[in-house]
Amino acid sequence: MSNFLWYLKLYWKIMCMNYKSKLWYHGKKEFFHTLGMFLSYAADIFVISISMSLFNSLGGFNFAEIMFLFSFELLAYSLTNSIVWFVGDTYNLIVRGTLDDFLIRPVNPFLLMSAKYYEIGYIGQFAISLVLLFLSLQHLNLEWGIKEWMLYVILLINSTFIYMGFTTIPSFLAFWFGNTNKLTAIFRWSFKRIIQYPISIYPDPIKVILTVILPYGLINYYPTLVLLRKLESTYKIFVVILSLTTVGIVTVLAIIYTWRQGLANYESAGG
Amino acid sequence: MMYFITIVRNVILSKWVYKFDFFLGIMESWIELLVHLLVWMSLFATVNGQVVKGYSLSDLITYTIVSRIAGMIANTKFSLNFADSIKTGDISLSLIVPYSTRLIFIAKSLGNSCVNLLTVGLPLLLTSALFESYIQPPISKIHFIFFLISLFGALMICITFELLSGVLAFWKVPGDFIEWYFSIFFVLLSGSIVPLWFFPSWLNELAKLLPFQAVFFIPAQIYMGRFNVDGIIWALFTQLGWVLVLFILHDILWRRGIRNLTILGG
Repeated sequence: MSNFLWYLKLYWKIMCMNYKSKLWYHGKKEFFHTLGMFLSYAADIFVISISMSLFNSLGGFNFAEIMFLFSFELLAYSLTNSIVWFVGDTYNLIVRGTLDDFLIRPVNPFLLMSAKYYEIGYIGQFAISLVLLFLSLQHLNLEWGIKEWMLYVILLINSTFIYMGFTTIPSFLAFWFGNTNKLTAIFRWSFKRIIQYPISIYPDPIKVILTVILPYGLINYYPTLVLLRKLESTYKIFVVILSLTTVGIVTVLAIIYTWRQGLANYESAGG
Repeated sequence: MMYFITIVRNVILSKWVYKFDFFLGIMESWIELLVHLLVWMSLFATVNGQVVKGYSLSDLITYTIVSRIAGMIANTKFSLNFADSIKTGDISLSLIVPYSTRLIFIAKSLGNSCVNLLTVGLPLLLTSALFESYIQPPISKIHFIFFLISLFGALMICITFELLSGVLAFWKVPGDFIEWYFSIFFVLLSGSIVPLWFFPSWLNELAKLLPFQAVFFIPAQIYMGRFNVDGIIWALFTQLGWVLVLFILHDILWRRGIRNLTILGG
């Protein structure tokens, strides 16, 4: 436990140091980054609201429910990306070998890397998604007690794990194949477009793919079904929660496994 | 001329070198298109395929695909290179060769458009085969010819836009942010995702005053025959006007920037 606290402190310290050094030169840049993120999500929400204002529902979801889905995905997404922001730099890290920097220190290289690359620009997205969450809960007239909030937090952390798997595993493939930036980009951005809408709008084959083969649906669609009480029987709720957490844990194990295998395969510069 | 054709060819070949990335690019644009179309399908399914605000599902699908054709040709995106070369000082290399600096960048962007014809065009063709029964043919031959002309206009607007945003790098505006911010405005106001028909009226008026709609909305409108002949000519002149305005703005900034340019303390 003390080990964990020590790591937490270290993480915080590196993060602060890193940010101070960044702000020293580029305070303006950080500001524009946050503002841009803010604007681009505002644009997304605006587009959804305009196209939905003329129709009653989309895939069995009304506008407030879609916004709940959107905010859940956005929250998991920003948590994931602020922690594993280094995936955007895997080309330098793995192919050109700047990963060496992190390997020669007597702490866990993964955590060190994550702290060093921590991206604070996601604060704009956190704000947007929290506002959306509260607004949508208000509109849906849902009274959430302590139990529901706990379930919400657990499912959110679980979704973050799944998202993290989709973000990091393709980028770790660079240990074997060299430059995988484009592949990572598809898993990070393209599939995000797909799950911004409830997956119930897609034809059955795509639904099956998004549930079983590439379980993006588990990131926001199924948790939303549970949290907004769209499932009737307790049995169904139980099965969904159980399978969600199982996939979450399996993803974490898969991330650790690929990371370890990758490191064993790492050949530093030119590898 | 041969020089510029060689540049175009080089861009195409350099993209083709990374074949895996090339195919991933095809997949990327395919996913995005499919999501749009399926969202419209499912939205219209909730009203049992009736007409909404005077537009049917078939209109929307035709609109999405046609505006995607415009986007494919007009997706030039070279302002980032332009801005970067100003920032790093590489622009001095293009300034000393005996060809117009800006034409070199334009030739590169044309090469990019040719690559887009493949990466975006191929999935577009496949998808339109899936949705064939919904897609309307152009109203008449004349409309189709005007549509092609307006596509050229859209390309010109995009090129001048990129020239303008790239040249801002002379004043230390970071190029990636400019490009990003412009792309946000394109999503909002060009009608590339939601056609302007569905906008609230105040926003519709605002969007019509801005150049963004001239890239996606005008070609699609002409294809679908929403304009009569007078309207078409008016629309084409709007495009031409924007090209002139943006280019003159760019030119003023460019001349000033070049005059004050110092590279690496030189």
